[in-house]
Parts: sequence; C-alpha cells; structure tokens
Amino acid sequence: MDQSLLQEFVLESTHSLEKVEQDLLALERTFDAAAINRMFRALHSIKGSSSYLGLHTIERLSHQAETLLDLLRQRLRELTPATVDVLLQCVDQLRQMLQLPDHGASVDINPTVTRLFEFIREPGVEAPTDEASDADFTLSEPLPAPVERATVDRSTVELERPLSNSSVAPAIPPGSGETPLGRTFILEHDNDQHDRNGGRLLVAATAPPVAMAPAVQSLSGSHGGFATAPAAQAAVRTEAIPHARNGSLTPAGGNGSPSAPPPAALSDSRGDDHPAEEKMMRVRVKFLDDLLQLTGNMVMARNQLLSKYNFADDPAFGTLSQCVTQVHKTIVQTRMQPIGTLFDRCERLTRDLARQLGKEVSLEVHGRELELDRSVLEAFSDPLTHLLRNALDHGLETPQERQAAGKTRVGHLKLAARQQGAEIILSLEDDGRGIDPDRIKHRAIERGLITADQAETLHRRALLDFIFRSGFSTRDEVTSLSGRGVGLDVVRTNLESLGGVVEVQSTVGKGSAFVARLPLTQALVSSSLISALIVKCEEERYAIPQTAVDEIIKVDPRSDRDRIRRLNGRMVYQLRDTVLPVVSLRSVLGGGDNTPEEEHVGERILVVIQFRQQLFGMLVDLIVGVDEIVVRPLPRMVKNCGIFSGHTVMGDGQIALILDSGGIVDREQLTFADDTLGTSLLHGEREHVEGDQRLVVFSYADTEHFAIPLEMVSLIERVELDDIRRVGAQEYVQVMQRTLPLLRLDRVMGVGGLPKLAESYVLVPARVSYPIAVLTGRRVAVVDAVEQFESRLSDGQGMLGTFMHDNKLVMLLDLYRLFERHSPDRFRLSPVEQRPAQILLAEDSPFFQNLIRSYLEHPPRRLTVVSDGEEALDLLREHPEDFDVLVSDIEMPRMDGFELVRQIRADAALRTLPVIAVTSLATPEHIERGLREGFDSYLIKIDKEQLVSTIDRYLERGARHRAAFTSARKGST
Amino acid sequence: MQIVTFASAGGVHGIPVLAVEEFFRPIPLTRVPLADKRIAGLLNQRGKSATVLNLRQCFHRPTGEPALHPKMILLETEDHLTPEARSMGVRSFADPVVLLVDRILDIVNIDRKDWQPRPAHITEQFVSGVVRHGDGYICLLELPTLIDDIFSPKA
Repeated sequence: MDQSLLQEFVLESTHSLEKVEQDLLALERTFDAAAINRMFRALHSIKGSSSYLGLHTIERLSHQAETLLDLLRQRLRELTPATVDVLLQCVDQLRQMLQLPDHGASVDINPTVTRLFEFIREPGVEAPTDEASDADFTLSEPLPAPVERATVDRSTVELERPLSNSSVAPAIPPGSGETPLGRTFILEHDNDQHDRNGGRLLVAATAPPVAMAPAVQSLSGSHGGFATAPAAQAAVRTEAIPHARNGSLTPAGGNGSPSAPPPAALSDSRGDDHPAEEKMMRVRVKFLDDLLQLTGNMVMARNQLLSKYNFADDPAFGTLSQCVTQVHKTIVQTRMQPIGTLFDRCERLTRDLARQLGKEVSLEVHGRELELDRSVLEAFSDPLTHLLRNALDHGLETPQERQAAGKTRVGHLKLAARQQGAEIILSLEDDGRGIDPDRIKHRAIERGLITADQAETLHRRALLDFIFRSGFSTRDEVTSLSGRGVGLDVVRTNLESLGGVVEVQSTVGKGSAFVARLPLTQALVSSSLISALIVKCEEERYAIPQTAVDEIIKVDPRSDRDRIRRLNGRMVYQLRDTVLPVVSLRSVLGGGDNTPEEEHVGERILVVIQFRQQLFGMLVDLIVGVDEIVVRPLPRMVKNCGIFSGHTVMGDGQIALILDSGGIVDREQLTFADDTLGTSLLHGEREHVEGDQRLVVFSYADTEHFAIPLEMVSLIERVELDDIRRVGAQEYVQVMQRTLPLLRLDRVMGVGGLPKLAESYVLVPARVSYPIAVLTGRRVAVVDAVEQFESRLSDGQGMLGTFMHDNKLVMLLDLYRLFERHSPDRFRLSPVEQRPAQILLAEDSPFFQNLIRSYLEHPPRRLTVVSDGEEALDLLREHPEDFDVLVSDIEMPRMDGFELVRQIRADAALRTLPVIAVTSLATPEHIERGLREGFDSYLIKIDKEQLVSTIDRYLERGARHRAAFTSARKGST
Repeated sequence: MQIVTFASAGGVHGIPVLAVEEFFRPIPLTRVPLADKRIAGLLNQRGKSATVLNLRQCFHRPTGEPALHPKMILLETEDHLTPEARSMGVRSFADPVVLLVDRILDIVNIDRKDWQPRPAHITEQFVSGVVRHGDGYICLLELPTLIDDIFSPKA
C-alpha cells in the first residue's frame, strides 16, 4: 500500500471531518441545505477513498453516515438534535479510526452503525424508495448476484436467528481486491417493528470498471429469506465508487445513467470545498520543531559571535544577522495557531454536554484569532474541557431553575482569549448560580481541610480557592461529568505546569468567571525570543523576563529611605506607599538567607517583580544587563525545581536559567492580600477595554516625565556620569562592553537639563542598527499605560504625544526622530532603511483610532493619527517624506476621504503615496468611487488581518515612494 | 557487544559504545539550584542543552576521591540511536544527557553470556549486571533506570 497515499487520505479526511463537525454544529442553529450537501460530499469522498485503500471499516461507517446525510438532504428525514448526536458520534469514531495504526480495522463500529441505522430506517418512510433517492430503481430480487469477494458484517452474526450467511458467502470466491475499482453493495435489512435486531449485511466487492459511474442506486425490496420479523424489509443500496486518485475522488464523467446525481454537484465540491488548502502544504510538525530549534541555535550563535567580535559595522554580517532573525521569526510563525481551533472544539463540547445535562446554553466566543504555540493550545485543551464541564454542570442551572430565579431559560457562557501585557488570558464566564463561599467553608471544615477558626480568618478569595483543591467538591451527588472532585484541581495543575495560573471570581446567583493567565513566555513557541533582565547570584547568571520586571531599585543600608527593613523577620521595602515583600534570590535558590548584618553592608539591587499584577522585590547580587534571549524549555530532569521556567544560552555559550516569578512566589510562600487582587482584576478589565501598553517612564529634569514603549527598549543600565567620555562634540558611554554614543534629551528637544547627579540610568533601544544610549536620569520605572493617550499633541519633533500617569504629565518619545536629530548624518544617509515604516491614519472616531492603533501595535509600527482629511493633508504636505502609507476613513469632518485622496493624487510630491480606505461605507457605488478617486485599496471596517496585511503589502511601495521622493529632493538641491 | 569502560566512584563501569555520542573534557556548566543532587548542572554543547549527571553522586557509597580532571560522555539521544543499537537493546533518552566520570578507560568486547547478575550488596538498581574483565569486574550500567529514578525519585 502506498503509504503517502494513505497519509494523504488520513490528513484530508481528518480535515474534512473537522469541517463536517463544524457544519453539524452550525446546522443545529440554522438549517442550511448547502451544509448538508457539503457534509454528504465529505462523507462520500471518505467512503470512496477508504474503499480504494481497502479500509473497509471506515468505508462502512462513512457509508452509513452518507446514507443518512443523503436522506437528510432530500428532506426525507428531519434533522433533530438526536440526528446530529449520532452523526457527531460517527464523525468522532471516524476521526479516531483514522488515527489508529490499523485505521480502525479492529474497531467495533457496530454500535455506531446500529444507531445510525435507527435514523436511516425511520418509521413511516419505507426505506429509500424510488422517489426517495435521485437515482434509483426498485429491485424486487433479494441480492445482486455476481460478486467476487465479500466481507460479512459481524453484526449479522449477532442476529438471533442466524441469517443464511452461507447463501451469500460461499457463492463468492475469495477474490482479490487489488483492482482500484471498488463496488460496494450494502444490504440493509430493515425492520419496521422497532426490532433491535435490524440486521444488515454488508458486501464489499470489486466490480468491473464498466460499473463506474458516480451513481447512487437505491434498491429496495422485501427479502423473505432474511426475515427476522414478519414485516421485515431489506433495502439494498449499491453504489459505484469512482476511481480514487491521491486519496480524493475524481468524478467520473460521461455517465449516461439517468440515475446519476447531477455531476455538477460533485465537481462543485472540488471547487469550493478547499480553495485555500490548495496553496498549503502539510509539513510534519517534527520538521518544524527541529527547524525551530536549529534556528534558535543560529540566533544564539549569532549573539555569541556578536559578543565576541565587533561585527556590528560589517554590512555582510548585518545582512546575515537580519536574515537569521527573519528566518527565526518566520518559523516561529509557522508554529503559531489561532486559539479558534480550540474554541471550535469547545462549541462541540458545550453542545454535547448541554444536551446530556438537559440544559440550554448559548456560548459566546471572543478572541478566536489570538495565536499561540500549538503545543500550548494542546495543553490548554484539557483544562478548558474541565472548565466547560464545570460551568455546565455546576455553574449553570437547569432551564426550570433559571426561570424560577427570574433568569432567561438559556444559560450564557462566554469564552474569551486575549493578550494583556505580558500575559495570555483565557476566561470562561457563566451567568449561573455562582459559588457560595459559605458552602465551601462548611465543606472545607467538614473535610478537615481547615478548622472552623481558620475558616473565619480566610478571605473570600482564599475560600473560593478551595475548589481547586484535589478531591474537593461541593457536590453531594456524583454525576458522570463532575462532582467527583477531579477537574478543577487538574485545571490548576495543568495550567501551573505551563507556568500559568487560574483564578475564580464569583457572585452568588449571578455567575462565576474562571480566569487562566499564562505568561507570554510560556504561550509562545519554545525557541522564541524574549527580552530578559540578566542578574547574577552566587556567580551564576539568571534571566528574568523583562515583562515580569516592574522596576529596579538600588537599596542602600546606609540611606534611611532606600533600606530593606524587617517585619516579623521577613524583609520588606517601602515602595512609595506600599510595603513590598522582599525575598533574596540567594535564599530562593536554596542558599542561606541574608543575615541582618549582611543587610548593612553595601548597596544591593532590588528587582521589583510583577506577578499576577502583584509586586514583590527580589534582592540580587548584580544586574548584568538586558538581553534578547532564546527561550528554551527546561530539561525534564530539572523541572521539579519549581522556580525556573526555562533556560537559554548566553552570549558566551553558557547556559542561564530563566526564573519563574510564580515559582518564586510559591517557594517563598508569598500570599497576597485579597483586596488588592480584587482591584487588580478590575484594573485588568479596564486595561482590556482600553488596550494597554507597557512603557518605560523616566524623569529627566525632575519635573519632566518621559516614556518609551518597553518593546523598543533593549537595555537599561546605570552609569556613573564621570564615566561619560567626550570625543569632539560627541559624548560616549560604555554599556555592556560596548561604547555607544550618548543622547541627552535636552540637546535634541526643548526640555530641561539633567540635574547634577553622580549616576544615571541609560537606556539602549532595541531594533535599531545604530544604537545610541539615551540618558534617562535617576528614576526609571516600567508602567502599564492604561490612560488615554493623547496623540494630537505630537509635535513631529520627537514627541509622539502625552498621557497622564499618577497625576503626572508624561511625554511619549519618538526615539527614532530623536536619533535623527542626534546624528542626522547617520540617520539621513539612507532614510528608507534606517527608519521604520511610518503610517498616517486619518480617522475621526476615537474608537476606531484606538482599534486600528491596537491592530498595528504588534509588531509595533509607527503610527501618526489625525482626525480629519484636512489635518492629514496638511501634515502630508508639510512632511511629504515622512509617511509610507496613508490609511484613511471616508466620512470625516472638514475634508472627507474622497476629497483627501483626490488632493493627494493631484499633488506631485504625494502622488505615489499608497492610500488605503478603511470604512464602513460599503456600497458598491462607494467602493467604485473610492477606487476611482485614487484609493489603492478599499477595506471594509474592520478586519484586523486584512488591514494589517494590506498595510504591510503597501509598505514596500511606500518605501519606494519615499525613496524616490528623497532622491528627487537631493537632486534638486 | 562493545562497551566503553570508565572509572567513577572508585569502580569500573561500562555502557554500550553505541549509546555514546562523544567524549570531551569538561566545559563550564551551569549549576541548577534545588535540583536533584545527582545533577551537576546544564551545559551547552554545540547548540544542544544537555543535563549533566554526576555519576559519583549516583552511587550510595562511592569510594576514592573524585578526579581532578574528570571527563564527560555525551550520550546519544533516543532518536539518534542507530538501528543496530536498537536491535541490540541499547536504550537511551529523549533529551541529551552527559555523564560526568573520573576517567575514560577502554573499549572492550564483552559477550552476553559472560554477564552475571549484580551481587546482592550492590544496591544500585541501575547496575544491571557485572562482567569479569582482567583482574576485576566491570559494572554494566542501565542508565534509563537511573534517569527514571531521577525523574521520579523514590523517597
């Protein structure tokens, strides 16, 4: 047997079964004849291919499903939830069989076939008759006579009154099935009397090629010899299966049979079923994994080379380095999968469970497009299943209970995935009965988990947390789904093994919300790049993901303010208005705790770490720097340490372990108070609504505050101001063994100067080919900017806009513009390469401004937002060389998009600028007019993928536009 | 079957040559705090991250002193075992593992029939048998047993 053909068949069938499943689920909501046709064709194709490949069990099962679907599409059977059930069961079994090494040859499909059959032979309809099928003739003879080979359905053996198998089987010489032309005869022995013994005989046989026609022939007739009940009827269906090639059916044309289904239907199936797939290639995951690991190694080796030799100025190395980064990125992308694939399964599960439990449920799904590493998706699958079960079984009430409580009959579940800051958040909310903390309290006391006294001191959240304990269930009765106390503890264990957490919030009578959080470092593909703070402790280096680091503080025992103090023997630090718990990395790593004496010796570094939006401080010996590291999983033998989430290879080829803040919190038994969690969750909600961005905030002159997006920062390091060296007019500073030019903000923009300080932080930007250290003063913090960002104040001279943080006005800096101002020669030489693409967005609605901004955030693109056409035009005319692409709304005050694009096309300097319309004005007339006026592309609001890909597509042209413009200007001066 | 013999913890031990990828002088390794004491640390050998097992620590009662200049043996990973090795029953692990030993001694040919069961006073489960060689004995190590024990230590 051709293995590749078989593999192709398995892949393709698995894929089409997935679609069948989706169609089935959709059908339950709205009847769609096209969907039934699609499913029929899918099953038909599976049957044909499996017959060709000799996978007879699959063939048999798919045949039965096809038969039922055929009846459904002719409206001879009604589509009921029960029908969907059985078809789903069938899909599941087929899928399972496809995965087995023997492709299901050993699987007992009889129960499924029997169930299917119950629907096929629905009473009241005389098995398929001539008007029933589009291709039939009635056969009064019992059996088609000449067959060469037969397999006899095992179920026939189970019949009470043995069928005269012998009358069929011996008549068939043991032929060979090597001819690819298969013919299947299936005898369906029907029984009107609801006799459970409805017997069937399946005969698969090879037939001469002449029989090839995609004809469905339904034969029916009574057949006394097989009667197990007086009114028995046997329906015989024959079907010729066209020659299968490459695992997919090719319709055999030119059949003159009046019984053939319209050939168009079959060829259609080729046309519209898998249009996208044709451009895809299936690659074994193992290859991708290997490739990913190898490119990860390449990135690390590149970094090692960079740290050894100063290649930075060698263009060839630059190219190589960029290629390595690109290759790595591309491969990482191939492993990513939208979480929607997982959510699809949830829809199915919800439906099945709801039916099983007699509940009515609607499931709302958000964030399907969020992409995660596929292994993480797989790992999410189990916990999510448990959460859904729990929500359906415990959370939601029965329709009666709901009505009694004054709620809608239909329970509501909301499943959502999103990225927030450095975490992936997966939430499942229900509007069910909620969790009663008192009940949990009683149960916990009853089970001896806590004493009554302890229970009184426990916060609500701590009580709710009990539901994640192994063996804990508030259910008294055990159902098939839950109540056995397994489930939620599995959810927590699974998520924790991924490095995530799960929490629950609940209001009695209103519902519950389970929120799983997973650090981005874990949700991303292993071998992906993250930015990390490298610290040293006991001569070993450790990496802390930058996203977990909130702030770095120098503590000095001699100073009164920056001192670690003791509270009940544990270390604390007064961070502004909160008392920060402090741990020492050395003791976390199993070394001794600092003795109080040691605390009085010398300066220490306190890294403020964020965990589940709580803060704690960790004392480290030394900060080595910030690096882009390739995250690799922890070798299995050291996984049980509990405080590491992975490892990486540093520039010198040595391994460094990545610290896991969650693990440290556990090990140090830090328990955060209840109320802060509540507010932080609320805070989280707010962030979700407005979208957030992590910013590095610093003050330069004491009263002026600035911010730079964290993503643009590669390193923050402290330098002594005495160490700044001067060469001519230029200042230089040593950062991480590299000498970098220094930028002082007051030299490039109109801001106050740095006060007299002994030392200051410098910030080194990421993603620039010519790094410049930016002097950032004494206080540097990382904040989540959730406040409204005001971009109208952008001055085009280095300030992108302003926002309020902690009642302070903070200016968001445009680093690239500042660099241009700092060393115009460097940055003007080839503006096209040096400067990232700049997008101008003309959009009057703040909502869409934010939306589009959020679309373009990852990866960060430079976006300038104006709110009408006139503003856009003014800006473009003033700085024609500044923008690569204009994205414009149509309906805007003062000047609309049509007028804007007309003016642009009439302007010699702007004529070649790519302009994309993004609008809800979607009538053909508008689109036609838009394209006529000069839009390059006309998009309907608001499809992220489409917008991003369209912009990316035009960026290249935009860069050419800008290059042409710049050279034209050079030529004229 | 050919086995490579090495000295560690005061004894002579052997593993199938086919289970070995390469020998090398120790390179700097990264200690893993809180890990099993038998794990010396992690190292990066040509882009591969390997877990280093300090074989000496694996014995209940090691004798002698650890060598000043120990050697490292990188074991083959499971998917790199040759079909020949597999047919001979050589087993390995999915992840790269390095053995830290005192000295590499020799490569010797031994015969299956010369294997003798481990004497009762050798309590290390991962010693699968002994074989007479020259004046002394070679302990044949069944490394998967050892590593399984590190994965899920029995008290």
